[in-house]
Amino acid sequence: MKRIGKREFVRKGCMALAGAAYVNYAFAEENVLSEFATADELWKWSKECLFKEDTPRGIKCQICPNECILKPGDTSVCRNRVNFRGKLYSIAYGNPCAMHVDPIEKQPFYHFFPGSRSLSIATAGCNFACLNCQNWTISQASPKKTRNYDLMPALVAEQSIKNSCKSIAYTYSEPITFYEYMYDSSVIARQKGLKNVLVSNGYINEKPLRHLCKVVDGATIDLKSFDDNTYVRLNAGGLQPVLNALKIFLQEEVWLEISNLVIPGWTDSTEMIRKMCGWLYENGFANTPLHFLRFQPMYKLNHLPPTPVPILQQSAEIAKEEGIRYVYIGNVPGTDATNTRCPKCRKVVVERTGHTVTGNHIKNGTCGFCGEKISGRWT
Amino acid sequence: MVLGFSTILAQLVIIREFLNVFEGNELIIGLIFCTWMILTAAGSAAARKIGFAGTRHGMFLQIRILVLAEGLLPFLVIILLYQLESWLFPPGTEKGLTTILLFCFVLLLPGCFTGGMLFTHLAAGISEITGENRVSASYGWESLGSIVAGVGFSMGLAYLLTTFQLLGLLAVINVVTYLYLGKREESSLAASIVVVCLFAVITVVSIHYENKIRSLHFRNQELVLWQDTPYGNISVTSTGGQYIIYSNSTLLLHTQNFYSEEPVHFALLQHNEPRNVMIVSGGLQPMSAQALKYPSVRSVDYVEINPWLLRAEGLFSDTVPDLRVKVIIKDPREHIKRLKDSYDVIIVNAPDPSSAQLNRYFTREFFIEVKNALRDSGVLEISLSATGNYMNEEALELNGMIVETLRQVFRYVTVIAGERNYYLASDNPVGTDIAARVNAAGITNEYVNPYYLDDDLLRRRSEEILTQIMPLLTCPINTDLSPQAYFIQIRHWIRKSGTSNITTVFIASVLACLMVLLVFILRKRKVALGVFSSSFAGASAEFLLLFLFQVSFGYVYRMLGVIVACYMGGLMAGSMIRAGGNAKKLKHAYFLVQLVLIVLILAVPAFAYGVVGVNALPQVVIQVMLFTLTATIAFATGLIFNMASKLQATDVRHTAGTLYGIDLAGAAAGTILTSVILLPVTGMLWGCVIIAVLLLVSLISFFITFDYAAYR
Repeated sequence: MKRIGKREFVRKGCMALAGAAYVNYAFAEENVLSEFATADELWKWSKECLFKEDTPRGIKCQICPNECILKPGDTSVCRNRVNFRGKLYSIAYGNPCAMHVDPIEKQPFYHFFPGSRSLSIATAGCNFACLNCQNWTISQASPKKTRNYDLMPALVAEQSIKNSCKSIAYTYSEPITFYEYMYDSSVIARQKGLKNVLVSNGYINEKPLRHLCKVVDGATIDLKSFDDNTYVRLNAGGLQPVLNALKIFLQEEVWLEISNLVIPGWTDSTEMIRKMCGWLYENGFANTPLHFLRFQPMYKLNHLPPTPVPILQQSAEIAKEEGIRYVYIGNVPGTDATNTRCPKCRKVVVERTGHTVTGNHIKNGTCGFCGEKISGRWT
Repeated sequence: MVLGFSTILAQLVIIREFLNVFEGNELIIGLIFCTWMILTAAGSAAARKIGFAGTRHGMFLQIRILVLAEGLLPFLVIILLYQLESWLFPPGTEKGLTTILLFCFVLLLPGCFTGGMLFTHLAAGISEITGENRVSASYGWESLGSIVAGVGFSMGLAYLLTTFQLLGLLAVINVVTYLYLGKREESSLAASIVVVCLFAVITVVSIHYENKIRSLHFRNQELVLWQDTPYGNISVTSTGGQYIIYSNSTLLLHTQNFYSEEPVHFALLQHNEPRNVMIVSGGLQPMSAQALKYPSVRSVDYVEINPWLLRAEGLFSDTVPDLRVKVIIKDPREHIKRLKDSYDVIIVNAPDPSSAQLNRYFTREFFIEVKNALRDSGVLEISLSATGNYMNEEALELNGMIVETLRQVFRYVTVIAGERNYYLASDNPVGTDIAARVNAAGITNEYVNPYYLDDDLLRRRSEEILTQIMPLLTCPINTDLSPQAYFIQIRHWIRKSGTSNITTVFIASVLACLMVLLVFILRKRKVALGVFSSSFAGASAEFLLLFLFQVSFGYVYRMLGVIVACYMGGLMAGSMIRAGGNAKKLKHAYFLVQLVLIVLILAVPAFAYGVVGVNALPQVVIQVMLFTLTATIAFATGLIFNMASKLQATDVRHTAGTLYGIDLAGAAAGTILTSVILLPVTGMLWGCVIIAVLLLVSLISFFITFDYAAYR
């Protein structure tokens, strides 16, 4: 056996240690809690989670179907929940990283107080990982890494009023992941006469959703496809929980609108769209506005072209054939597919150009021409 | 010579295809080069241990097999590249750094390793036959082959022949070489016939199916047209009645694009009476059609550097000829350089500064050139990717840097957040009240109108962006010779690709290995250290001079072939000069040449700032000086390799394998470090100083410690 000298032993030992450190660093996952490791408490933007369960493997978060089980020091998939000394906390509470005033139509909400403005807020984090996410800088980040406002729930309503907004929209990233913040803000907003709307992927468990429905007034749910395999490959999610969520919104009588982003090569199959619209009709969503949105190259799907306009038009036709009464095309300027037509007399009851309402013929929630009820929250 | 020709031709073709599939920024190009050279170095080093079969026949047989492999492997690489991409990745996905590295490594390994081995065997074989150390001469002949391939490729070969036709040419050359070597050794006729037939089949089938192979990259779309141009691959696809133009997988233009109104109207509405407008890229038909809506507009100069883009656009757009529209096929910077008070509005539709070439449209020097070309109340518009609802750190830095750079030149700068962040700069006030302005102007648009754009919301978004970047407005500015914007863009791309720690570790490990190699060489092989540092310096200098040429004279692609030829010619001349004499004389000469190289490296920034920057001499004179400097640096690098091969106290095979490998490793390190870190982070001046310091260290260590007794 070859003998080595002391120097060589020390040298090779150091190299081996350095190599081990490299490997450890390479495979280490980001630990959001590392900064709090020696602190007595988490930062002020945290709150104990509402829906959880203790298990032998750790605390199970029960907000969404991911149902992360977290041991002390672990962070959830959405990056917003942490197990700090045996308790589950949200660290996305009162610290939105994005806050803007948007027209309600931009969310999109077409049958919900048209022409009004909403204060849109979001914290970092998301329980999906969509390849085409337009808010990836915040959805695929942790609140620890973003620059945040200090805006506790009471101040959210104040900001909304200050900016002459009729509603607060919990949007951009994924509001389910800042559930407690959204819930508490909604309670206060309601007390001040404001509406609360949710723009979400709908990937939420039943119990928290029903609890939330008590304080939100409207929801736009992004039904990203009608195929579970696509949900996994495109979004890292699942289809069935979203379909369940849609039914719950209907049962809880929260105003609901559905959006579907038509992505070439992924979600533009006419067969799938027909199947989706058929399911919606059969399950009571005939009066739920359905928005087909044009895809723009984004994030990791930036080698795809935008959705051809004829494909969107075809999707809208399929939806109408399947019995969906209010069908819209979004992100395509110059089309009249943003107007609301009475399902009975087919006259334009709400005329829109872009996000601007240029004509409104709805009287007390009915068509101003023939009296047919037009679904929505108009006043 | 065949080796040099094959290697360079295959390299250029494969890199072109890699960029087409993965998109191209400086980091990717640097990584491909780096991987190529490291793998070739590994092959060259491995060939030290893998000897001949003991006979001359065995030697030739091994060489012939390697020559065949060099001719065949590029086909496999290209086909596998497209096929694996279609199997492993969903359509339209951008690949991250880790993926690209893996692809590079796996696909380039066989060919590069073979090439490295072939050099060592050839150099050793020739030395054995002649009875002399012909390592440097072999290096010289290889360089000659490289010159022929490089110049031929960039002068037109690349665009006259398709990829597989080029590889077919390569295959023919390698098969002929194989047969020639076989004839000398009276090899089997039957084997030769089999080889020829095999190659013929592979070549013909590949050429026949080239379209189908390329279509794999555009699944779910119909590939209507593609063309390799000096500025990248242009592909036109069609889906659902929509036409799309890609350049190296980056979406450039498409029909049914309503947002094409934004850049034109956001800019033109800032001027009371725009008469003369210049538009850089963005699509001739959409851009000019929007500009001509303004009654005051008398001329629209559409400047596009790539004529193939216009031809591609012509496939599907019905441009109605208008005498007011003039198409100028030229580098935009070259076009405006000597203009004064010529335009009221200049709109630059350049993509983000993801490369040194694109960075040129975001620098202080360019903005000064634009300002000179504008009249007093003129407006410049430049844009970056939209930051949407949140600006991450890199977006903040990049936008801040561009705003600060604009503020150095223009009095007023604002931003309009649309589908991109449109920065408007002028010495007159500019505003975000687009809806009011378009109303007042009486212009009818599909999208840029008060129904889609709310002035209050535009103002808020603008204020939010400017407020966020305000603290950064003491940041460095982006200049031609200190192109920091593109380094930020590379970091942004790395973050977007979700590159895990493992990739950072890999890159750090490569650098660490190179450092370890340096230490090893320092301890054991002082001569080889000189080769490493001189090839590091030479490759870095070549990159910097190419970059300087582009910055100064515009992107004139054919001239790049001249620069490559100058470099390879200098390398060849230096490596083929007879360098002999006793150990002391050779050592002194080796020392002197390295010293000269240090001076030449420091001459690069002196030339850049003192000659090119001042711009007092005629252009032709400056270009000749640049070519001369390139050739001289390369000559010194080649001469160092030449002398090192004599000073190296080992047998010829060992010398060839070691020095060639170290030379390539040095070139790899120089290429990637300079393109990705030294130039963008430290700028040209300090980058050259760092390179000179490295050379000085190797010089001093050699001089102090050279062992005369070991020289033989």
